[in-house]
Amino acid sequence: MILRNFPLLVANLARQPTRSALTIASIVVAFTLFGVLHAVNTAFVGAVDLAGADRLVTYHRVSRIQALPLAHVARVAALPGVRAVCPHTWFGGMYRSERNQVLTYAVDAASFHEVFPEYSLEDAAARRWLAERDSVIVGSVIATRFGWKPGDLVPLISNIYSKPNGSRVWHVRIAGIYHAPRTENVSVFMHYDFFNGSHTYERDVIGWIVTRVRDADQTGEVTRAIDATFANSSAETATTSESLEAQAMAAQFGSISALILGIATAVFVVMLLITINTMSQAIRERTREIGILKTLGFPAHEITLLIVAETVLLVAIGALAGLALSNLGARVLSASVQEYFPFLYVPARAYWQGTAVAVTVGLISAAMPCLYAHRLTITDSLRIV
Amino acid sequence: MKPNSLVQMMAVTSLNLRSIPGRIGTTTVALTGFAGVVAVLVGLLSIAEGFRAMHESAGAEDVAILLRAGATDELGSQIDQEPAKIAASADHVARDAGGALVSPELLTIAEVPLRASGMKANFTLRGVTPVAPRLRRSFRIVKGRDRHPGTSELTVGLGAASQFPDLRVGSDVVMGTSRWRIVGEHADGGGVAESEIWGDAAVLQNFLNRGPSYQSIRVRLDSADSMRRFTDAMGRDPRMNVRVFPERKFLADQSRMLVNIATAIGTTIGLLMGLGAIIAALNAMYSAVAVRTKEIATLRALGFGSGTVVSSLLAESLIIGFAGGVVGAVLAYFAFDGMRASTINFATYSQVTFAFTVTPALLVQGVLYALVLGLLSGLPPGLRAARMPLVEGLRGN
Repeated sequence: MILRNFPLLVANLARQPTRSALTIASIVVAFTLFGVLHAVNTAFVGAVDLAGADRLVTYHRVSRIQALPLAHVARVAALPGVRAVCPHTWFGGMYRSERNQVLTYAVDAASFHEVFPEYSLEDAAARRWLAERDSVIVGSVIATRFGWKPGDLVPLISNIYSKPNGSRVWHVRIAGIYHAPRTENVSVFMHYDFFNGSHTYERDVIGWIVTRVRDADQTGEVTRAIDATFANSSAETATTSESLEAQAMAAQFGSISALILGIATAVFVVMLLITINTMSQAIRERTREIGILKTLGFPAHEITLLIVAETVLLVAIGALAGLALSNLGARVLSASVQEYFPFLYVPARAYWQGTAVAVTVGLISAAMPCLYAHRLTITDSLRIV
Repeated sequence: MKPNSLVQMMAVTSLNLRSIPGRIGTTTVALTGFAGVVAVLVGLLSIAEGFRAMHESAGAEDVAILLRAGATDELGSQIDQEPAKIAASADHVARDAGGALVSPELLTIAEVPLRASGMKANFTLRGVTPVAPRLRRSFRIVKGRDRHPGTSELTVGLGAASQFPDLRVGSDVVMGTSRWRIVGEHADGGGVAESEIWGDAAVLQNFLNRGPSYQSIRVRLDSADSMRRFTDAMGRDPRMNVRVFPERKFLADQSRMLVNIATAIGTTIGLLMGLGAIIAALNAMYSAVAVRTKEIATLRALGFGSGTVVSSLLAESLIIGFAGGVVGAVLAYFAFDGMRASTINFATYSQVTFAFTVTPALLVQGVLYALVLGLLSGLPPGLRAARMPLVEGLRGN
């Protein structure tokens, strides 16, 4: 039936081309905003839904910037329920100039893959990384940004650590480029041993420990066991799950994220209301045509279907174009704030939520005129001037 | 334009404006749209202005910050007592009754559990000596009392205290197993210190097992003009492995990232809304023109030029744009200016509290934006009206 009436549908849309174009354009804009909104929200919430359910993060209890003794790592690894342990230390990297911050961490390469299995790396690259002390693995995004390729020797500048000769430039060899699904892919991971053996600061200390437990159900017990191990020592610890840690980080953005998202959501809703009004009105103006269709013998339900199909089609075209545009917009926005919001992208749920909203808007826009058209008698419709 | 056409244009414009009450609906829609866009744009951009204002008001022209060579921020710097002693005897350093205004400062991050959310928030905890308040001209205690030196008492910036009930006078900050009592609130002319917690440097060094080391040294100079000479002197001294930043530049750099983020987000949303408003206004203007087809054709039949008709329609939409812009700007000013909020600054890895700041420049920017929106939404319908064949227009369709 829809197919049979398709030419009529197109003719209706082309009836007032300017208005149809403007209506579609306003829907495009609204849904672009909707997509960007989701992207900004993802940026604020960050790694919350990416965090591994079976990973724990252990910091110094006093403050996360206090160092922990390296010896803590082996003691955590020996606890029951622990699958693997990887120490992290913030290196504070920069490339070429201070404007190009590179998130660089010194880690234990041997346990890295066991703790972060979602970071995919070619086998050859993984072997190279393990074999070469001065090698690093880099995220695909940052590798593209700086044009890095495996085998390149890259000078990283540390704003914290210097070498015995006083230089703060650390030459590292790129062993491979990792890619992790749905994550930032902007970090550089170097060998802790290489770093620990070469800097002039206090040796054998680390920043924090990431622990992977054997069984996600045991996170509570392992958390308590880790902190109990170091209770009353000179370096007490505070351990949380990676997802709680990510939530706490997201909460740190505070009221400002809620405010920006609130404003943008309100704007989106207003845009939709205006669109609904415009579309309803456009159909109400066609009373006489509807009367003619009825005269020609179109049954009421078919006319209803025609109107619904028209509005839903209009909104769907606009919404899809808008979501596609928002993807583009998010990329542009992301490029300017990438160092601080590595997670700014349009998440998958924005697409299906957007589609659901679009269909709803189409139905609401069609509802009032349809009801009206349904009840309308032919004589009434033809009488109206 | 001939004087005659100017008179014509004004006549038609005033005719247009007087007919606004007759089509109040569409005009209100357009005006409200512009006002909304401007209010939101100005509101979002006032966040960026707030960050900027806070960091700039704290940065004195005549204060230098010394970090360890190579460091780019205080957290990544470590500096021992020797440079502070050397700096104290350097030329161009300001002095008061208590001696040289050289303030070695320790920095760490205090993680304070918030009762409201059950989460922790990071705060900059600055360990200071009695010189620190003397070096900062606007520093004063506004509530409670100052700390007693050598104790584990704290004062908290009034911005942090206003945003976080857990940081009021009389509360305790727990770090590890030790408790630190907040005894007062300090102000610093709206600057970053108002987001910080301050404690005693020596007590904190001991508590953090840091030995006699600091993160930075602030030095007040005898005048802003001495910055260059002081920097050069420090650079030449072989005992000093430090880097000197003018405080103003240092703090501006710390706010740069937040300002960029807020500007990028504000501009993106503002542009999208502007597009939406143009489309809504175009729709409104097209229907306004459609309704008035006969009227416009009559005017042209009477001998008014089509240029006159277009410019008068443009003038109308500019006036609507201007009115919407002003309404939006005023709304934004009353809704946002002075509103306080907090967020995390990655540059310091801790909370900053700031006030939304609606500057005159932002207001002007908002009104200009509304004028552009008005112009863009008035032009196409105006052109259509002017191009329409007279006969068709007079017949009305």
